[in-house]
Amino acid sequence: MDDAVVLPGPGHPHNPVILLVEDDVLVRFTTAEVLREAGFDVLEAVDSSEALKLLTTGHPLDLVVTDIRMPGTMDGIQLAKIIKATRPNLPVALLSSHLDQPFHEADAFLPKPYEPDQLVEAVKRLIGAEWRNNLASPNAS
Amino acid sequence: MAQQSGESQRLLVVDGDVLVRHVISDYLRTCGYIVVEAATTDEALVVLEDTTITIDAALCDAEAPGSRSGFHLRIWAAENRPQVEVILAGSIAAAANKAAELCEEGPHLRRPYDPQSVLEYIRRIIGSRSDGRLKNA
Repeated sequence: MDDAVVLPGPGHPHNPVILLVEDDVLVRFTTAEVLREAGFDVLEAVDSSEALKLLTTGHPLDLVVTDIRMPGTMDGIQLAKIIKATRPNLPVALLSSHLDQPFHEADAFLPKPYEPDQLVEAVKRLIGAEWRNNLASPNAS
Repeated sequence: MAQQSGESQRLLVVDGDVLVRHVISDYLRTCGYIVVEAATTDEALVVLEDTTITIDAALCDAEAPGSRSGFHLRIWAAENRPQVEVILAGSIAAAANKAAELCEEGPHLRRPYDPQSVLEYIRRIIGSRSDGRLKNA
């Protein structure tokens, strides 16, 4: 599986990688572009099924950001539960337009709507300190 | 595709296989495009129907999932967004080659790897999974 990897993880001169799971194509594109402009690499998944497919490739990931309400057999809360059971060190953030925060096993909950800066700051808080330093100083080794 | 200097061109990539869509989109971003990813032709239509979103060209799997085929999407675009060229690809190899052609015409920010590398990478990440498009590639 390692042979398939093209995006290196921490310690390599590369950007942190975020898996974004969002079923609304326009929201997904807009959110992904905000994150890319902030210096992150973004993998886009339309639902939990696609997210799990990407997760099983062994692709380096530093954070999963997922909408809660999605079509298909699994919502964002269930996806977070699976990720936490299989990759407990991979942080997960939930996005939702519902203000009432449900019970979840994710590391953060961000209610919609949010300003792009709020999303970027939340993401920076969740990724590792090494990445934060790299983002703050792109030339840092 | 008409080339615009000094401004990123925007492409729509339509493919129902997230692994293929990601690799092709990533390849196109490497050479300077902004890429909108669509998993179905229905998602592609949502993007194309929003005339506030500039799309310069669309690279679409001919058999992409959705209520319309890739061929119907191209016909719809010709009638409703005639400035958007819809390029159909019938196999992953064809998609990789079309992406390489787009990179040749595009912003040239960085020369990406060759399309054969794209195809080989897709083969590796998909692995032994049965995939008719890959076998026919």
